[in-house]
Amino acid sequence: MKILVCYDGSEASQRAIDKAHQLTTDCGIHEVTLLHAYEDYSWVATSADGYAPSPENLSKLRDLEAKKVEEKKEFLFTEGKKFEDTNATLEVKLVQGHPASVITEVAEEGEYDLIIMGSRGLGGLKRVVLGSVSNSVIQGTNISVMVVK
Amino acid sequence: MKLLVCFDGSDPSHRAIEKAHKLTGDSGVHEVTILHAYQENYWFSMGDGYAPSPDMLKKLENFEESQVQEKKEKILELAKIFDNTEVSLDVKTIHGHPARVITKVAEEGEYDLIIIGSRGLGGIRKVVLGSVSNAVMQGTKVSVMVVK
Repeated sequence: MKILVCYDGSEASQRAIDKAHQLTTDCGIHEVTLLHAYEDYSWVATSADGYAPSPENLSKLRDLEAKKVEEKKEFLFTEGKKFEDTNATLEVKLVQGHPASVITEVAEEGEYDLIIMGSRGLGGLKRVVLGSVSNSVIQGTNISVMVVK
Repeated sequence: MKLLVCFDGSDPSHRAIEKAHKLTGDSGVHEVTILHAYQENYWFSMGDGYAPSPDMLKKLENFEESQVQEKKEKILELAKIFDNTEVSLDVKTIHGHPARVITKVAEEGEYDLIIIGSRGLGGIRKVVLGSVSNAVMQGTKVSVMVVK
């Protein structure tokens, strides 16, 4: 078995990693990839008066986005250490793009057996039981999906 | 780990059992329950708008019963793949609204994972997530694995 774990920083996606760890300890899983798919939002930023941000502000926004990605990367490497007591090969991937499309593409091109993801991502609505990314991935891929609550 | 596999006879639900077997392979999965939740459909039968005669009703009831029996035999046959594992296997057939039965069994039995096929017996091929899978996914606190 080869598992793809989708991470976006939400609590539910952390539980997806824990679930992957549990399955790895228990089963014949030989390859685990921790994937963080992210979108760069700096280009949608405008100053309050409706004009595009100044080159200076834009560069600040880009730095901020880059810093967030760096933080996620560090977190994934720390989480990845949990898998050291298993026989699985671990890989961390950070890919920029539309998250659901990225996840589906990575999963299908890498011929993964299973995608594990949190039921709800970073979107704010607490009462939504299935997030938009989880929903698009489930609807859009030929690969089995485990939704971790 | 304790797994709940939902079976309705469809191809994806066959694959859900296979997936459970695969996960069980070397395994800390110690308990697997294969559940078939079903609803009988005879009570809304008869094309002319009248209720079926007692005689006809009896026949329909017998037919439904034989179908459930068939599913049970099919499950027992499929479950043989677990023979070479150390897992304790249980087969349940429960009458009721499938999504509600599945949710209830999973939560009351404190299962770690529900494994369900992406599409059930409903006929529409292009629907990528069936109504039961969707209702279970939306309605339970237990993690769900949707097997394609």
